[in-house]
Amino acid sequence: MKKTDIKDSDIQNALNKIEIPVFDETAKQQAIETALSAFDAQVEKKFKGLSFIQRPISITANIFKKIGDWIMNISYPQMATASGLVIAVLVVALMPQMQEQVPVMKEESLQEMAVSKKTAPQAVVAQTKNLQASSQAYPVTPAQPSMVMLSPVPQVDFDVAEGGGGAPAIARMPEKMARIAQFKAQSYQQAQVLGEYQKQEVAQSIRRVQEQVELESSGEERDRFSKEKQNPVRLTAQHPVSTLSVDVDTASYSFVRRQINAGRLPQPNSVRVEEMINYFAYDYPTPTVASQPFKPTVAIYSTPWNSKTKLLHIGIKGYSATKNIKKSNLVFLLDVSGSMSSHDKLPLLKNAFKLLVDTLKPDDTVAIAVYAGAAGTVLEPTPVKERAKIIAALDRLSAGGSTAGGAGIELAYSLAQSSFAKDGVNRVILATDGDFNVGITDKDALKGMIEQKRKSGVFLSVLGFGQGNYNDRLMQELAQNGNGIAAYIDNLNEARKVMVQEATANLFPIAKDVKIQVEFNPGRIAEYRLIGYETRVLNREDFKNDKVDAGDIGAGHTVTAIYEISLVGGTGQLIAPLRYGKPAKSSNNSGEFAFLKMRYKLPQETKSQLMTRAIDNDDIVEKIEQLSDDIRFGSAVAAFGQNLRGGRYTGDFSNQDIITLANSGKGADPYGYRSEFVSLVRLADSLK
Amino acid sequence: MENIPDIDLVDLAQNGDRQAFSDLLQRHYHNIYKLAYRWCGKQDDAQDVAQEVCVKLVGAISGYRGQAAFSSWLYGITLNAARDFLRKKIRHDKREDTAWDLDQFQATSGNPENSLFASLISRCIALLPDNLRMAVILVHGEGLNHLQASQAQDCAEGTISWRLSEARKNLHVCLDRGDNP
Repeated sequence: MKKTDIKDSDIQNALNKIEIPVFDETAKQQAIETALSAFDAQVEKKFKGLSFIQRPISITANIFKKIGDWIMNISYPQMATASGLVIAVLVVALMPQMQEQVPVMKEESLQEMAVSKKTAPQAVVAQTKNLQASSQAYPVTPAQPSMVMLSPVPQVDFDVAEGGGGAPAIARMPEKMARIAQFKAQSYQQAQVLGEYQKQEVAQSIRRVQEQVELESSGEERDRFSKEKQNPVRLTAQHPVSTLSVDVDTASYSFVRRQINAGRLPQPNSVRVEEMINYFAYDYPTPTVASQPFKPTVAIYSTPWNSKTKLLHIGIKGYSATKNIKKSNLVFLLDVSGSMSSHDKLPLLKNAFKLLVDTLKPDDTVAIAVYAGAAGTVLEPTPVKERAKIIAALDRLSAGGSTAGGAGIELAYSLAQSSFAKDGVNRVILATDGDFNVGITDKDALKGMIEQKRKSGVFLSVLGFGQGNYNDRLMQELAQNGNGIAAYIDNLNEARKVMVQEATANLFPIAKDVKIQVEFNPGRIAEYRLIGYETRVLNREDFKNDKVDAGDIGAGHTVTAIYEISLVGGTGQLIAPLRYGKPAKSSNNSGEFAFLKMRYKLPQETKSQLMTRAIDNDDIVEKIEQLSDDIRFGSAVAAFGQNLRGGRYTGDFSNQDIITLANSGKGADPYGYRSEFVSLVRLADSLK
Repeated sequence: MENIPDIDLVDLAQNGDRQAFSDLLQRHYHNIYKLAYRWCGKQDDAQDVAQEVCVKLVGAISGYRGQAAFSSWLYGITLNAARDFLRKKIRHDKREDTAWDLDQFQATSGNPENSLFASLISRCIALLPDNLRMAVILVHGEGLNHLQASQAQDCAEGTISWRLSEARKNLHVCLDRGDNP
């Protein structure tokens, strides 16, 4: 054979020449039926009744569709014999669900009421109660008898039996085995029609369903989050300095909550511990003057999950500038692509923005631009005193169409420029479910533009809605470039938290590029480990470099960083001492544990200022009861976040321990966020 | 059903919506089957793999987070299932039954010499190591770009380029050695 030269086109050509035979339609239907049986089994197992709460509407719609299908599938001569029976069975099977729908609806309206009356805890309680109610409803579901009635009916021909494939979804049998039995009966019925010779194949597919139901319920998950490893334990002698940028984002907590509420534990990599801690507001002491934008609170106390180490807790609360609030000029840039139509996206978004409008002052201006589908300006900058006009514009929005792109983001920025509030707050708020087709397709170009606009005084915040398309990393990056926050909004309660309670903090930065640097004294601290902040660790030299961007703090924002430390002479060290290592030198300030330095820029300035504080014996809190509720609660959240990430350093500190600790630090909890956290831990515990 | 994007159906299915899951399978069965056929070369096998993928999706769909297009992600699942299926089958059948049926490549029209060349290449593609063959099928067979193929194979984009060039080298060797009929 001669030397051959192969081009890509030859390979393409060769592959295209392969004629792919058309698949067998019955093979396709069988594959789908088999998968759906496994799906039903999984839904039963995984959601434990939660699906009713989550999607009452779509399930009801499904039921009626199924009824239609069933009736359509009954051939005319059999109507007399079969239809009466089938419909009767359906009614029986539907009854418990209809009853369940009622409390579900109530719960939703209750939640909305709770929001308007600011009594969120009720909603949480209602939801938990409802959960119990619906899971208790299962044993009384008369699904099993109805199935038994259905299967042996001799008059029902193959068509009807196949239509019966929908039956599991309607009746939602409580047990996996029952479902397999039903599938078995149904399949044998099919086999009789199709002929004896196929029986073997059917038996095989039944075995496969059984195997798959067992196997797949443990299903492997493919990891698509960025994989930052947990910060390692550092030896103070080798790495005495730890530098980080503050992080006031809270998206991770909302995301984790949604996952757990949907009946699954989040992937370890999707958990950012610092965002979970910072989700909660802590009542750290605040400075009284704006020239000093924040004040650190420090405590050293025993680690809840490790008796041999201590925690160094650094809390910062921003100066609350509620008095002289300046004028706001806001532009809402809203994604109205088709994917936004589901109930937890555009409808929630509209309500969220209405809440925000209600918190603004009469002279503030709001403009609305949309992208994808119907790109363009929906509302020119309008003063908030014309509230009805703004609300009407929001109400007119509807999702639809594919992503047409358009110059959405440029439009939003030009709207912001046109009504620029000098010395005020100028901000574009982008709301999306992850589709960033805002007119600039190149990610880096988009980031560059946002950064440039930031310099001109228009900032950007990003709000994420929905699940599935959610592009966590890009959201974070864009918000960071735009001097804004990235928040994930999954329900109205969350919308209220981000848009109303924290609106001042999220809209009015009081300090930007806030960096923390801790220098540990090797004479007192042998090892340290920063909890969370994996994506926020900075190089030591970046601390003084004002060109290096870092996170911002808004009015009233709190930021918490926690280090786990082991003291010299203690027994908590994880790294064995070197045989030939030099003993740590004692320095002049040998009594101190560490030295805390913070750098920040005031909003309009480009040069950073330095704030320092020594951490010494005075910061030790001996007894856990002497700690503030906030610190106890924060450490509980830290433990939970670490456990979700795999619990590498938390030993045998269980979810029960976390609940106890969190309850001890619940405090007044006016909006019920901390109670909700406790419920979340409890739910996560049941998922293990 | 046609106008609901994949991503929304996936979201619904992840939350336990049966109809959405069924719609997804209806929509993608053909692609799953086609890709499985490219790997296995037999209709029966491809149908078996397609069924396995459908069932596998029940558990796997919760792991889809939307970082890649759903179709790219599904390509990855399908190829892995097809590979595992064939490996298992080869263990069972001791390879006799699984060799590619060359007739299928010759049932094409046009210049017979071209067809022969094409069929030789196809034969050699079938002999490539799994990872290289996957890259070739995804890019040259299914027309994915390198980024999409990298998402399907869960590797870096550069790795795809490397695999393709490595595959080309292997094909040279295979053709020149003449170890094909």
